[in-house]
Amino acid sequence: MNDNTKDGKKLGVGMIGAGSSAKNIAETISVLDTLEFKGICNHDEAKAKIIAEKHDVPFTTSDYKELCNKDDIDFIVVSLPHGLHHEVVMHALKKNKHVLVEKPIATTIQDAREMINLAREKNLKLGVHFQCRFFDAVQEARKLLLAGKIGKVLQANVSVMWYRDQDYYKKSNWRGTWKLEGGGSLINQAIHTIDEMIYLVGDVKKLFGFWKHAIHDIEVDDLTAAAFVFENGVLGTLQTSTATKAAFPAKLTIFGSEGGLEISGNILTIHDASGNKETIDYAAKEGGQVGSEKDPKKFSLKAHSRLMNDFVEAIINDREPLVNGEEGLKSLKVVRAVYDSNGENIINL
Amino acid sequence: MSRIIKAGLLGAGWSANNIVKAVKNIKNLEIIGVYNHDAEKASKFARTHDIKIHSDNPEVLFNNEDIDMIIVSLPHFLHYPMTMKALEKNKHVLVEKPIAISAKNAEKMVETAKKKKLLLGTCFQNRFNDATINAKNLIEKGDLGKILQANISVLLKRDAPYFNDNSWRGTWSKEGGSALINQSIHFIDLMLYLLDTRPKKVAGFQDHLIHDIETEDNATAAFVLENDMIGTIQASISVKSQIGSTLIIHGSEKTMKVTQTAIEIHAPNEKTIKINFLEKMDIDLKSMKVLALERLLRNFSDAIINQGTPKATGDDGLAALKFVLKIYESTIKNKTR
Repeated sequence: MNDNTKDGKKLGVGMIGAGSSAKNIAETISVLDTLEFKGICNHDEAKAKIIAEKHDVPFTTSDYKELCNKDDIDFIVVSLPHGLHHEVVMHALKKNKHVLVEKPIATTIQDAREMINLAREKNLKLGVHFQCRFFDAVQEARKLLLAGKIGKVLQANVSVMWYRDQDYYKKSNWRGTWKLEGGGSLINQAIHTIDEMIYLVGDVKKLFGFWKHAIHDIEVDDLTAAAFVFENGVLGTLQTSTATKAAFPAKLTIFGSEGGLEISGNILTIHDASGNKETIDYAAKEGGQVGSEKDPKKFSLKAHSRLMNDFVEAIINDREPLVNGEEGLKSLKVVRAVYDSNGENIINL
Repeated sequence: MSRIIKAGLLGAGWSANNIVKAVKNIKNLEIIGVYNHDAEKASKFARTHDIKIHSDNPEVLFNNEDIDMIIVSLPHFLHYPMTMKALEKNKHVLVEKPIAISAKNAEKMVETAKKKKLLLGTCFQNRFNDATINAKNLIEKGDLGKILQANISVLLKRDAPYFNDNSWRGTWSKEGGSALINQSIHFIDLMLYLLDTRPKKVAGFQDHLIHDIETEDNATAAFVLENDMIGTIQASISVKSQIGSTLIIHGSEKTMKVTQTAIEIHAPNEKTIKINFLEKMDIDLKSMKVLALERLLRNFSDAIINQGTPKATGDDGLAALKFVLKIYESTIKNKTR
């Protein structure tokens, strides 16, 4: 990034998509002085125009190919219904753009692999927008784990028990479908927490799980439960829901022989061996709640900025971003393993 | 005149001690004999608790005509042979959990009791906790809506002496497992009891991550029950902070957390309701546990007197056993440890 400031050249950014997470990313882009926001594409161009106006973006279109043809754009942010990620990312890479894609990386492992391979072939950066890894709570947890604060790590649990009403699915033409959402509570709501778990604990090796649509009239899951073992021998469980009305904050729990850690949004609770606990609320410190079950749209953008900075530095210094395609694929593998297992088989990841 | 049930107790360990304490408050149940393989221990136990007969030969109790029921409180691998001998001698049997360490043997126990029209009960005393009784009422009233998922978390501490001082523990042949079959089986039964269902499919992972034992000190599993509900279990006996055991039941309308001593009810846009039964009943945990055991023993002796069915049967013991065995089987089959 310093090199960049030296030649005074800013990276040009284009964004494809104009939904709620695209709006957050647009906020992030507009405040970073290393970036120049060059264009926004949305199939309904009017929505692109609203964001463009707010952030002084000179170009809008309804054709993503047109955006990818622009020479002044160095990288493209893709924030679309999950099932469109593959097609659009592949095209952007073909047009020699670095790509930062929203989570999940894609809806199938094969699609994700193709994206990763093409980026590698073309020596382009592919990043996945798992900003939660950049929360202070997660970064601090990582430090504590590496320092052996909770002893030998024994188990991890992901619990994302939320509620979405039928309107949430009805009003959307892509949610609740395999083709466009690629799953439900797991791939959409829980994947951030799953990604945090992988970042902190390691890669999942084998998994057994169940998914169902318990109360909603949808193709995909509104309820899941799974057990798994990590490559390093740690054991784990997860449970997700958009079907249970009594919602709880999304939570990652890691416990070891000498204590435990709980991460909920940007709040870290540390348990010691004697049963004492200490809670550090980074969200309150930053003045913004993160991923609250009541208002998932209310994000603090600090983690967004850190992720964006990391991606920009990766381009400038020609290194891998912290959450590259391979890293982004890991949580998708866990999600897909639950869908593929479905109470029949233990899946090897 | 009301009948008094006379019991013979096999075992003189920690859990036998609790049983004796619990029986003291039951008018129609009396322990008249105790067996331990160590004659001295049996005699000391009998003296301490004012029990008439003591022996290092269990046949002494099986052959005693006065004895109506046998309580089996022995290392797990002895549950099956001792129960079978007692049933053969026409004694009703209340067996500590797990009912046995193999499903085949547990099935034989259940069949034999049925054939001989004797009662076989499993010592799942958590069914008698006030927390459980209240939880059961709320579920039966439909308070939680459609029950969708259950999550069991059993995070306890067992130290090295726990295994070293009892050579049968930590072995497949004698304990038959550890964190699941010994500690977690209580909350597995609690779930099956509260939701009035049986396990359909269970698989998972287990390993010994801390203790130097053959069996598991950590395990996780996912399952679906006969009522189509799904869930997870995480079990550990190597957590120093001893977090405890919790069952979370997620209904479409409300979620309920159940522990041995408390329930918590979470509903959308409502304040969480927490009921701590230790506070409510003004007793300590130890007394509460003995009280639950007392209720279980009274329920069993009443069932003998009234020719009824105990609240925790051999069938219930078999169902919970099958649940944990499926996790062991899947681990072996899939070479996950």
